Formats: sequence, structure tokens, C-alpha cells
Amino acid sequence: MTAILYREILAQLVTQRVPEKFLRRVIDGDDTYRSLILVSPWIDPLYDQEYRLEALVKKIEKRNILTYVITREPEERWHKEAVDLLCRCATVEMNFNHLLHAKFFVCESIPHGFALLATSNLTTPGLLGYEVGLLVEGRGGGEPIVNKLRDLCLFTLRAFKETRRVKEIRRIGGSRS
Amino acid sequence: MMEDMRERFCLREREHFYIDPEQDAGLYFGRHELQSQLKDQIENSFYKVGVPKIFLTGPWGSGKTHTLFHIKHFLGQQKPDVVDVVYFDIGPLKAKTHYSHLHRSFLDRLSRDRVKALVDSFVSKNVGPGLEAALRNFFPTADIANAMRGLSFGSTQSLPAWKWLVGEKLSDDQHQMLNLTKNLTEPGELIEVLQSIGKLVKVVESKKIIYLVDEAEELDHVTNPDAAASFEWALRRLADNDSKNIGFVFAARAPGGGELPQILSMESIKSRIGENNIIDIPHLGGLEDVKGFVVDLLASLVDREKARERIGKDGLPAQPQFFPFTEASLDSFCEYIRENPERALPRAIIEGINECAVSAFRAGEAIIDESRADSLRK
Repeated sequence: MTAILYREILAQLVTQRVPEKFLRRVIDGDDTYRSLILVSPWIDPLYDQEYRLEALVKKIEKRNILTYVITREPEERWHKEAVDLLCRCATVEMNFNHLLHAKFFVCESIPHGFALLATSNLTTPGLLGYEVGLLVEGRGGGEPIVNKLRDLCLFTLRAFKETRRVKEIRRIGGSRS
Repeated sequence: MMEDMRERFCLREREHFYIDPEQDAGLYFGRHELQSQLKDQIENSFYKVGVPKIFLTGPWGSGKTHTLFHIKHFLGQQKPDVVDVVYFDIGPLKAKTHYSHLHRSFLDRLSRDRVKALVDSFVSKNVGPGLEAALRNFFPTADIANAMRGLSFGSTQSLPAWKWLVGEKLSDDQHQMLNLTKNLTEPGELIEVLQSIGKLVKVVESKKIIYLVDEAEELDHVTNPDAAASFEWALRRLADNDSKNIGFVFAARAPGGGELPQILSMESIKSRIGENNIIDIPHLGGLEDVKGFVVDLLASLVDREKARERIGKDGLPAQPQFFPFTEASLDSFCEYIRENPERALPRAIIEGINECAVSAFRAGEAIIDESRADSLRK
């Protein structure tokens, strides 16, 4: 008989202020961040919210976190402002894909990462509307799920011919904590 | 005497940090889960279906060839009396290339002398008036039995018999000389020849043949429907559970990861192989995966004792497990790799390590410091 090892998956269903769950954890957290992945067709600066995009950008800059963003090419002012804000960071890679519909966010960190797979965009309406998300802890049975989401962005979505890289990571030296 | 890179960086038995897939087959870096999954699948296959039947996929530079040689090494160590492992590159295929091309490679890689020796051995065990019947009973068709007898007997018959077995067309005179009725044309006939040889290896040597077929993405060039159908038919037969003496591992490049060449991904073949036997060798997705790969590589290539001595003697700011990197320069190098995730592949990582090592060596430095990894970014 073949032994099958089931590993526990730690996951949490999120139904309120869905993307904030991810933002809060990164902005307030003190883990050793390896990389961030933000996949969202629309992103806005979240100006009037407790956890604003600017706070995330500060964290990325402070910790030199390699960050990969895939979004649609901005047409609205608020979307462009959010993209410009993220592109300010040397460690951010920005990609546009006009067919993007998926929304997920991954944090690769030590001791373990986590990912949020969501129906909502990283926008104010995404915070306030009725949305749902699943926050998966990247340990035990959740580890391959989080890794798969990370690789889905890094090696599949980024490689699509419809994906256009508009900013690469440009960084000389600098230590990460 | 001038100190070379090997001495400077305490390398074991090599002048640089490159890996030779064949010579370094015993080594495997990082990806411990993949390595153990692969070994489990191979071990299980001997109990379940008699031989491994596996498809490996992965992007360019992900280490498929090295993995094939690692499998060869593993099988050579674990089952030296049970398997005969044969590696080859499938070679360039064209739109109309028929399965007979692959059949010829299968046989040529075993060699005429080897197959002849197998038949000789079978003949010597059955010599006497019952030989003809024994040959006819052992092989699936009279033509194959006659060709095998021709291969073993008479010097003038041996070469044309081999040519017939590999799928070459013979003249009417040669057919008459070997007592054959027709040339081999159908993939089913070619498979019967291959399986007959597999059966001979099993009976004579108590072994099984495992073919490791590299560059199988070439199969995507076979676009002619008849040619593609010949591969599908033959590979389906080899993938069948009742084909117990011929195993295979096909390795194919899949740029996006996970995809097989169209012929190998046909349901008729995939369903016989089983999902567990389709194994992806992906990018080293996480920063920790990249670091694990590099640390494993350094552990294999660098003589830690010598490194420890050198660090102590020269007061170098390094630790033996990361030498000739420092921990900070190793982190910086790994981040450089991950800044563009397409680089997170063994081939690109090894290229990067060598580039750092050569530039540090030429600059007369005793270690690879952070400036070397930074210089890769420029």
C-alpha cells in the first residue's frame, strides 16, 4: 500500500477589506522579506485608507524588497498614480498585461511566506465592496500553494507575450533585511 | 609558480565552477524534493510496471540533461545487475520524420555487436535440433526469428540482418538470403523488434533496458500527420503496462514549464504514463531555492578543509560553507539572480558564479566580495 502523507493547510477565508489583509501583514510585519508579488488588474494609491500604497512603497524601499507587479496599462489618473508610486522604487519590476483578470498577492519571506488569492483588486472599491479572498500560509501543505502562485507570476504571467515590462529592477548593492 | 583559480578558490578536481552533466552525474544541487520524488518514482516503477516510464520537462538550462545523467548514475548504483541504461540525444527531427528514426537510434545505441552477442548466447543455450523451434517460439514473428538467426549466423548474413532490424529496406535477394517476407515499415513491427531485444536482454542477462532520451522537444518538429501518428502509435505501445522490459525517460524543453511536446502530451500516451510520472524541473522560484542550489554546489566543488585553512591562514572575512563567497556576497549574488527570475536556472546561476570567480581571480582577490555580484548588474 502506498503511504500518502497529508499535510495540514493553514488558510483563512477573508470577506472584509480583503486586500488590506495582505497589506497590513507586510507593512506591519517584521519578517525577513525576500520578495513581493502583486497581481491586480487595477491598483490605486488607497489615499484615504489606513493602509495606503505609500506605506507599502516605504516598506519596499526600506527593506529593499524585490517586488514584481503585474497590472493593466493605466488609463485612469488614480491607476497611473499608483503605478508611478510603485515605479519609484528601484527594486520594483512593473509589467502591464491588458488581458489580466487574476488577482493574487504573494509575500516570500522567512520564516515562511503567505499568499492572498482574491476576487478584489488592490483598490479602494476592492477594500469596500463585497469581495472574498483566501489567505494561505506558506508552510505545511500551504507551502507548495504559495510557491505555485509565486511561480505562476514569475514564470508564467510574466512570460506571456501580452505582458509588457515597463520597468526593470535596477539596483546596485544595498542590503536587505 | 603562479597560483591558478583552482588553488585560489580551493576547488576540488576542477579548474572552474562549471558542471559536466556526465562527469558530475553523481552530484545534484538544491531541489531535494524533486530529487527524492524522482528517485521514488523510479523505485516504485520497478514494482508497479517493471520499468520506469517518465517524462521530464523544464525550461532551457533547468538541468534536464544533468538530471538524466543523475538518473543513470542512480540506477547504476542502485540496480547495476538489473538495468542497462542507455543515454542519447534524439537529434534533429523534421516534419516528416517517422518513428523509424527513433527506432534506429534505440538499436544503434545498443549496437549490433551487443545484440548479436545476446542472440549468440540464446542460440548456444538452445543449440541442437530444436533451435529453429526455439527461435520461432521466442520471437513474435517468423521474420524477426529469421533476422535474429541471420544476425548470429553467417558473416554475410549478419550485416543485412542488422540493417533489416534497424528498419532499413533490403533488396529481394537479401530477403531471400535471410528468408524474410517483407521490409519493416509499420511502427508496430518496429516495436516488436525492440521488445524482442528487450526480452532477449531479460532472458540472457536478467536485465532491463532503460533509455534516457534527451532533447525530446524535437518531437514538436514532426508535424506531418502520418509521421506524428507513427510516433504516437509506437510510444503508446512502449508506454503500455505490458511492455515490461524497455523503460524510458524522455526529457523535453518546455519554455513555460510543464508543457510536453504535442506527441508526448497525447492522452493515449499521457494516460498510460500517469500524471505522477510527468515531472517538471522548474525555475528555482524562491530566493531560498537559489541560495540552496549555490550552497550545495559550493559544498560539492570546494574543498571545505582547504578553505578553512586558507581563511584561517590569510585572515579572510569568509566562512568555509560559503567560500569563496562571503555570506553577504552570496546573498547579493542570489538577489542578482532573482532580480530577473528568468536567470533562476542552474545554467545561468553557474555562469554567474564563474563570471564572479574569474573577475575576482583576475583582480587578484582571495574571495568573491559584494562588489563582484554588483558588477554583474552593470
